[in-house]
Amino acid sequence: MMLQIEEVTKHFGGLQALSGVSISFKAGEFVGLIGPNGSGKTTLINCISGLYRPDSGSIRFGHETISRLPPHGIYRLGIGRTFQISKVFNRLTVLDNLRIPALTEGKLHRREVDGRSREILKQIKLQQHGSLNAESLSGGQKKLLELGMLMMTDPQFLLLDEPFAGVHPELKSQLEDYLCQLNRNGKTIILVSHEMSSIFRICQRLVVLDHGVLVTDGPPEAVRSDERVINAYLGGAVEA
Amino acid sequence: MKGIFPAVLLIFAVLFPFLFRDYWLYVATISLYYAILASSWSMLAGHVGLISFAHAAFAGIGAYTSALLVIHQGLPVPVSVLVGALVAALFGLGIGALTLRMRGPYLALTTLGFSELFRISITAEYGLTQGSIGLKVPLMIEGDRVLSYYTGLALFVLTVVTLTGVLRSRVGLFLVAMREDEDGASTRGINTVYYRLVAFVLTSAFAGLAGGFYAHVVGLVSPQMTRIGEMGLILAMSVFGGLESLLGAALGAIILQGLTEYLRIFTEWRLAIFGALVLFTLKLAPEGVLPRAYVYAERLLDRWLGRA
Repeated sequence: MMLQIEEVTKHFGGLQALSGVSISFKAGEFVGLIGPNGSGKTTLINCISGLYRPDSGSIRFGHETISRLPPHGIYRLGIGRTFQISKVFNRLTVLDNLRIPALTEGKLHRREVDGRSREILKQIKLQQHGSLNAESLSGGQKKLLELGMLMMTDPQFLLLDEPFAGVHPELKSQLEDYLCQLNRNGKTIILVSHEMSSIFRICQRLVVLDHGVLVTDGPPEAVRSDERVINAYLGGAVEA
Repeated sequence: MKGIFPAVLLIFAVLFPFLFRDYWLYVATISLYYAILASSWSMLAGHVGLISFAHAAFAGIGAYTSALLVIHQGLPVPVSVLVGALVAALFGLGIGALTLRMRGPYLALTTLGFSELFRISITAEYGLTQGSIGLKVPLMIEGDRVLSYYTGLALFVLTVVTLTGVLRSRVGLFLVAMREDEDGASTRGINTVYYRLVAFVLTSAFAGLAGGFYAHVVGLVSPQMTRIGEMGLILAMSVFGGLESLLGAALGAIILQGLTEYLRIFTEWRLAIFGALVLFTLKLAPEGVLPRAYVYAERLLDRWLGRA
């Protein structure tokens, strides 16, 4: 297993955000993590990426237990993430935003970092914004910039929190294709999204959470026909 | 424009002893002490987003360390000043290691507490420090005012060049990223605690360096230099000049120190005047007076040159 979550529990005051969640992810999987608002999806991603420490349970990446590592340590092991509300560095230029992850890694010379950041800038179609501060970008463009920042260091395990939110519909289908391409190239992807049509189109497996509890885990077709999911979490029949 | 201004300022600073003597040269030398403190504090507050109230205390650590080493160990002044900076850096490392893992106001509160603790300790340790009377310290370069001024100028240039170099390096990029979004920075591989500590230790060292210099220019160190009012003055200088501009904060220090001399008749009311100045700056030019002056100067230049 590439990532193994065992009996992870997290609470905030009186709120039980995750209750004994256990999930395993194999290398190369494309998994959709779904559930209604407040179901614990982002809390789980925050636990995996090190922003939260689980109250109990463990998270293993390969042979290493990562549940006590700081976020930068987890990132360096090859787990990258994006955020539901984009966390780009608003008062730095778009190019500087792209440079940062590669500079933290320290593998590339500064000139190589510059070259790569311009290359990625083209791929995310923001080449006209390179020297502008990131605060001037739209919400959708910030989502693309976050993806671009991930691509700068090429992590093997991607945690994508609502990457389609605010992205122009035309760009959304390109983004879906791009994520599928990344997955074909060997990346393991966990995708959190409320865009059910996208989730069912591109994910090979779905994990459903509700009130911090794992409800079901399986192929999209099985989840689609699961009565509990349809009635409790998707609010009725799902249109792919 | 932004490149010309520092050059003009430096030329003026180099020529200053030829234009002014004695009293104003001494005032300018003391201004350089505050300029080092304000520019290093502005790096911490403006670029890293850390509010420390111990900057004056770190200057005090540098000053007392240097003074005691010269008096009791007979070390040469330049060596003792450097050791003072190193000791201030070590205190910065200790306080930083304790507090910089935490978020929010903990650093501000801890540094405030440490600052008072240090001031009370040096006041109480009469046998070593002469308490509130102050410790008489040998002057540097036998009290030569011109050479003392140039030493201060060299230390100030060293401070600004070093800190600017750090800010323009990848470390500077990381520091700004951390200030902008700490979670975003840490999940992109930045070890936020480590880099905050680097910035804190570095600026503490420069505060210590400034303190050592001050001790051997004035010839006296007393707990007065570490009181909270002094910290307020450094804060006022930085905000007035521009928190995100090292040179702006330094210029703020020089202007306010000059004003201090003019406003002597107002005694402690000077601080109230500075407080009002800070409030007006925050209201009218929150980025600081110097960055705003750049904008106006560029507009004037454009108009003068007939550019659109």
